[in-house]
Amino acid sequence: MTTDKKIWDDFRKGENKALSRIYFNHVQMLYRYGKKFTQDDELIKDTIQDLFFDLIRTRKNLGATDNICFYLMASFRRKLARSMNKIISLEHPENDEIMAEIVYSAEHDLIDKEEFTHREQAIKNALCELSPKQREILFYRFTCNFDYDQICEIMRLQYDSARKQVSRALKALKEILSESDLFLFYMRVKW
Amino acid sequence: MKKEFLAYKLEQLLDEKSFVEWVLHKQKNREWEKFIEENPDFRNKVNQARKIILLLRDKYETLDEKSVMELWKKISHFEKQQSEKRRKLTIHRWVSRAAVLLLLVSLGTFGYFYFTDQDAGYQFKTSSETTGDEARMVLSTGEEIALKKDNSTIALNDSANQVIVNDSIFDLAQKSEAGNEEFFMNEVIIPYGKKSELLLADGTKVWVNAGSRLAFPSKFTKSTREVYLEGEACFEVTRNDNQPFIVKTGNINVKVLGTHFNISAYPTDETIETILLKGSVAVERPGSLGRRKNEIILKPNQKASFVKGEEKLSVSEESDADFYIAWTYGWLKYNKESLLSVLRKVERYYNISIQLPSNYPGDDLITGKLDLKESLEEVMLALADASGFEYRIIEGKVIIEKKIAPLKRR
Repeated sequence: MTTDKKIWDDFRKGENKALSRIYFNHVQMLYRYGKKFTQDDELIKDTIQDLFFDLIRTRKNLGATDNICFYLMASFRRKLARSMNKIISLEHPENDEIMAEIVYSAEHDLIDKEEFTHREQAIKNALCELSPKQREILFYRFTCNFDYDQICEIMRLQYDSARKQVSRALKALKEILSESDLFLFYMRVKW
Repeated sequence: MKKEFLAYKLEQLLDEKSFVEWVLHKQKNREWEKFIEENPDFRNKVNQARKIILLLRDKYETLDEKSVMELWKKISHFEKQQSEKRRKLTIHRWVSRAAVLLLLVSLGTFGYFYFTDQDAGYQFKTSSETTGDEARMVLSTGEEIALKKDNSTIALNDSANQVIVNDSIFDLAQKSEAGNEEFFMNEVIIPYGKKSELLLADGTKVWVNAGSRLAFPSKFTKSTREVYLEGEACFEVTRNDNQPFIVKTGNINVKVLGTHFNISAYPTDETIETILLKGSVAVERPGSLGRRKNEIILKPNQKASFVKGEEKLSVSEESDADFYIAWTYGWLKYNKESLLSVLRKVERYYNISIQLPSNYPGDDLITGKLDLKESLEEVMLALADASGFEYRIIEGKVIIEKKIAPLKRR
């Protein structure tokens, strides 16, 4: 398998197939990521287009990377924040941050349910404890597999604070899950 | 694999990048699987960690294929514009011209059935072997040029009478006035496992797929622009109302004024399919002795099918026509297609043979996409995962062994 580093270097050198690889490998992730911040599909698509136009324009001056996904997501988030805050700046002139809203699929599966089993209730409670910020950090950590330096860079956090948030979240999840025996059965069906 | 892992706490395990990677993209890393098999006591902790990661899976939506392709067209168009500003050789026609129409034609068993009674029989100068290893171009002069890359680019520069192959320049034969084009045909032969992009003398762009041959003149001097195809190709035709573009395949002809289309005419397939994405084309079964001429005009998102044995031309609606040109981007997409048909395509792209047990239910319908830039191993793993079979790769052959219950997906 070609590594990110090689693909990225090919792109910087102007190899003509590298761009399509980068695009098709990552466009779905960028869309999925954009949906955490806004439901405006046109804005997400425009931002992706803008991001790639920038890459093409500056390809000769781009730095090296061995994680294209991180590179794209970090630039995407900056761009999106800029245009979203342009749109809502009248209401919140001082705000240049954007908030991710992450819904877990386990959570989503339970939305329409009226009655919960003990374990469903436990899952719901456990996930419900997680703050939006924690969710975003956990998303980078366990969906994107970014390391803490990368998470800090993308969210502008302190290293210690990011680590603390994750370990707090994991501790809570672990407790609630083991209490309710969830480790024994949850999602066995999905594997 | 490190022994220290065995002493890890749950949190430490969750901090280990290679572990998270394995849980997220299981098929890509068999090391962890092996490690756990060798250390069964470790399994409990692994399962706990895995469950936490899986519990934290986000609910997400995907961008529809149409938008993915539209966005890609804008981006790749922009890239072409940018690189053109820099390029010394002004191959300006690589950029799709205005009023380009989009058509896709897929042709099956060409040659074997009606090869002899076609009206415009073109005999390829090269032998019918497209199974060799080397992609090559044979010029009308007889000169052979090896196309060294897996995806070569070829551009004809008619004013200079030159052909540019992967950035090297070759001279074409000076042809006599209004001569017989057939004598001045160039051929491109692409074996299984390769593909190529061509720019013809009129600015028409052609993607030639694996296991295919295309014959084309250095210059279009007749009242129609004619090329001959065996196998599969995608055309983006430069519009010229005075000189229609015709792709001849032996069984049917596809006539266009200006269009972007894909033809697949593999000698081993039973059906010839033509899919139009944009514009308008005529799919024609030429008449001959004892046979009526048969013609169908296609509208966008329609597919014309010609079944060779039955000699029948029919039309159906095709909502996802972009699927058929995904290969030009290096993807293989299939939507409710039989496993057998997908495997046959994988055979072509990777130039290998795939064997199924005789009682294997190959008509299972599957939907998905494969990245053909990945290794054969990766692609087979993905298919095995989706379709539920076990396989071995031995001496360049894939042997599918048995069906197992497919993994459940979210």
